[in-house]
Order: sequence, then C-alpha cells, then structure tokens
Amino acid sequence: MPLVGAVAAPHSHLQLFTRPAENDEYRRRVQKGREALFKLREQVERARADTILILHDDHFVNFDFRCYPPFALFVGKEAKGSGVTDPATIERITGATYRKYEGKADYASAPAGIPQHMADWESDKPYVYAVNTDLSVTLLKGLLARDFDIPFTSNGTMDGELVLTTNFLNPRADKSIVLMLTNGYVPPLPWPRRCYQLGRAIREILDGVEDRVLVLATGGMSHYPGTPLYGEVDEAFDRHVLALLAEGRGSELAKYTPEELMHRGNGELVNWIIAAGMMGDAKSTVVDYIRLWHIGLGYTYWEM
Amino acid sequence: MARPEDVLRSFVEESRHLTTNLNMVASDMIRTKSLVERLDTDPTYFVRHYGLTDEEVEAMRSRDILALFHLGLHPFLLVRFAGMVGILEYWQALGAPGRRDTPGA
Repeated sequence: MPLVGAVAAPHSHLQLFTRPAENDEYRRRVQKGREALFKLREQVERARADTILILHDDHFVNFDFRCYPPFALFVGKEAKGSGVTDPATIERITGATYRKYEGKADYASAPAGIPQHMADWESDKPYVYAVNTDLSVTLLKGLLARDFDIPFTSNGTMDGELVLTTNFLNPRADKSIVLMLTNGYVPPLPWPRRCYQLGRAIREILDGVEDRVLVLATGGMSHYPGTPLYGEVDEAFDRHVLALLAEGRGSELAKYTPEELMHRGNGELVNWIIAAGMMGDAKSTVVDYIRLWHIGLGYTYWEM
Repeated sequence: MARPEDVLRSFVEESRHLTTNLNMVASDMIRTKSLVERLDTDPTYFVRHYGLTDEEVEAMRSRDILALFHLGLHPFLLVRFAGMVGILEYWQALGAPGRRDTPGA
C-alpha cells in the first residue's frame, strides 16, 4: 500500500500570525482552525507514512518571473525554510522543533510586526526537512514517461506558508518529504483538468513503489490577497467544493476553468485537484470549514 | 460583492503582471534586503538595471500600493513588497472591503 492517505489543509500565515487589530471572536476561530490541523496531524500519524508528498504553490521563493512553471519537482536532498513568525512562538503553538544556530538571537526576516515570510532575508533556515530523493526522481522519470513534461529544480527553499503546514503536520521533521511546486496564483494557471490528470499519473507511479506516502495538498480556500477584493470570501463556492469531495465527486473539480478558480478566489485549488486526481472519487472526511474575514479555511482528509 | 470578473480583469484576463519589470524588482527584493534600502538612496538604479519607468520607480519609492496594483505588480508580490517596507494593513490603500468583522470573523 504505497499511498497511505491524503490531507488537504490551508497554508495561510494567519494560522500562526495574528494581527494586533483582531478581536476575540477572530482569535477563537483561528484556534478552531489549529485544532482542525491537529486532527489532520493525527490522521498523518495514523496512516504511518514515511514520506509526505507535498503539493504546494510556490510564493515567489523558488520561482519568479524569470521562470514560473505550472508544476515542478524538487530533486535535492534537503529542503529548508523560515517560519511565518519566530520559531519559539511556532514551537509553543505547534510543537514544531527547529534548528538552533549558535549565537543567533532571532530569525527575523522582515520588519518587526510583519509576518516574517514577507521577505527571505534570513540565510539561516531553522526548518530543515530530508527529501526522499529516490522517490522524487522516480516521480520525475515516471511523469516524463507518461507525457507530463515536468521541470525539476534543485532550489529547495520553502516559503513560510509551506513551512507552516509542516510545522503542524510534520512537527519533528521525522518524515521525509517530496515537494511538487505548482502555480496557484500567477495567471495563466494550469488547467484543472490537467491537474486532475497529473494526480492520476502520480497515483499510477506511487502504486508501484514501496514507500508509504501520504499526500498533503496545501492552500485555499477562497481569498483575494493583494487585490481590491481582499476581505471578500466566496463561501458558497468553498462549501460546494468540500461537499463534492465529501460525496466522492472530486472528479467534478476538473471541469472548472483557470479563470473560474481565480474569480472564486480559489487558484490554490489546483493543489487540491491534483490530490483529488490521486484519490479518484473516494470520499473525503471534512474536518472543518472556518470563515475568517479575509479567507475561508477548509480542512479535509482521505483514508485508504 | 463586486464582480470579480471586473475587479480582477487587469490581473486575471489581461495578466498585466507578465509585462512589467516591477515584478522582477519585487522578486529580487524578497532575497536582497539592500535593494529595499536602495529605493530611497539610489532610485535611478531601478531605471538603469531593471528598466523601470519613472512612474514605476515613483510608485515604489512612495509606497503607493494602489498605483502599484494598477501598474501590474503581482498581488502576491504587492503583499510582500508592503511587508518589506513595513505596511501590514496594505488592503486599506487598495480600497478593499477588508475587515467588516462585527461581531467577529
């Protein structure tokens, strides 16, 4: 049983960084989201995975406008990154351990009071993960053989949002990872139908390996960061997506256009659609959906 | 809610971010702190080395978030840029609905 389960979880930095202006109700909802992540962590442990295949849209840390691929596989031995706030706070909330560099007083990488992943100025990365390189290369070759022209990269820098998901779901970094980076917010996006097909191809490859792989699709749900729509959330769309997954109708996500996803504030759904392609029309269990003023946070998992 | 098709047209349909060098500058700033400081000390550097227009340099130098959005700075990079120059509630400058959270959310 090489594929041992899948989870889909938000990577929003708001799960670990709270603006001073937020009120008690907001903080209560954030805490509820953290509890949903802890439930997903239990699922990861229950599946006894040795490798987590992470599907994550890069946030301009690995790629920029010099080259921005729709999908890419990281093939290096180690991936590392900084958190969205200071490591001591992250450890207090999530239990995530980190590499302590001798003589360092802090790991700040942005102005004080700002989420620390806004810049990547800190060269000592406190969160370090071993990569299952054999599996990365197997996936790369297997996808090329199946007519998916997947680029590879040896830049294993993880953005703060990606680190956040591992803070919660792989807090002691005792599971190796495989990173597939995607384009979830830089139009033109990859088409959902292609994402779904990609997921099916990955599943086919994983069915032939010995590793116990759990899939983690990050991101979402509806939000419009950096635009005049920030503060809007298409909650109805989010709930429809979660209902489709819960009813075992994940293949229907492949019917959307990239523009529809963007208009719904759901470009990052491309990660979830790849996971849906891997799981077929298996039913997922929705742990929670939490509406904050600027984002809808969805948490779900599939069991094998 | 305003129609996303209208509000996001310059971003989604027109993909204005694909054709402005602002995004190269902001991408490099994420990795190079001194580039942010250079905005104030040597703004013509961005014309010489990145081919920014005077209007683009001025929008960055004056931290004009709304102008940067209209000039095609990608929304992710806009958020990053705002953070790098110490602006947390960047959405206010965009005229976004933002926090309408009575009683909570």
